[in-house]
Amino acid sequence: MTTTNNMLRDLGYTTASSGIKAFQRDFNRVGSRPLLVTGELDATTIAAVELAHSTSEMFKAVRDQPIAPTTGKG
Amino acid sequence: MATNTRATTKTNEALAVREPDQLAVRDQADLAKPTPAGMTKWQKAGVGAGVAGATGLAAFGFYRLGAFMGWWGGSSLIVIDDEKRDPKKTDDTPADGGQSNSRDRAIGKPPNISGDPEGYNTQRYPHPGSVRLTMTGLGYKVEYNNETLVPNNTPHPEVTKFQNDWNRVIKGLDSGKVKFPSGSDPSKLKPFRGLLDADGIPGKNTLNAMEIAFNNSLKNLIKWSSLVGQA
Repeated sequence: MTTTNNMLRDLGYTTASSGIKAFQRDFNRVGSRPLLVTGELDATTIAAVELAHSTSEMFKAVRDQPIAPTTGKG
Repeated sequence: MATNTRATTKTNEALAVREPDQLAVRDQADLAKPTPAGMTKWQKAGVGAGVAGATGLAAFGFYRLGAFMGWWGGSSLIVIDDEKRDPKKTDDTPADGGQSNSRDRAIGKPPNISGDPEGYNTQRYPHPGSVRLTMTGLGYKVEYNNETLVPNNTPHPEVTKFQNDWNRVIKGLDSGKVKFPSGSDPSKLKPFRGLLDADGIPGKNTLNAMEIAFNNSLKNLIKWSSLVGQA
């Protein structure tokens, strides 16, 4: 849990319930498997935190911009 | 009267038993061949070192093959192709510096704007998850996880789509069909050049192109989807 809290802080979130909810909402914008926005560090949220932390540079960049519309060509 | 003197004289009996010429040659040939018992300890050490070296090389080669094929290496395996290039050359900038309105964008490969000596931005793309997020940010449909996009070296259709889109955008910039938004910083537009192999594999060149497209969508407000739409 301490490691997950540290990861959350590294990503710019607080470890309070409101901070966890903010992460869950941001993750749902970029993740293909949405999290339940509970404000709690359940197993799936912990896994999401670890994933986001391992790709922190891109996660921070993508969460700060609106997701582009799906390209139709190709 | 003729007599067979061969078997009767002592001298001839000795000659018949000995077969001197043939025996001497065979003995000499056998003595010339090295036998295990005849090798010096240094010769044996050399043979042993050679065998060990060959075994080690074979094991290393097998390990590299496994990493390449994704048998092991885990989710950290990200780059598949490894284009041979001059290690001193980290950019394919044309000699003239590449003007934003030039018609020579469809030459070479997308530049490595990070300058990372590995040939792509290893800090941004430490895991496949980062590549997946980039593609999501550009509007492509990929799941967000840390699994390789190309298990067993199978091309990914969304990667192929991005590669084709990139090539169309670059060629469109050259032909004038695709235009950057007015007021765009020309210095930010130089990296939009080079073509990709549409092989569905996110190698270094593709990662460099993704970085260029994504960075400009943030900094220069050049939406990738709008460029693709024009192409």
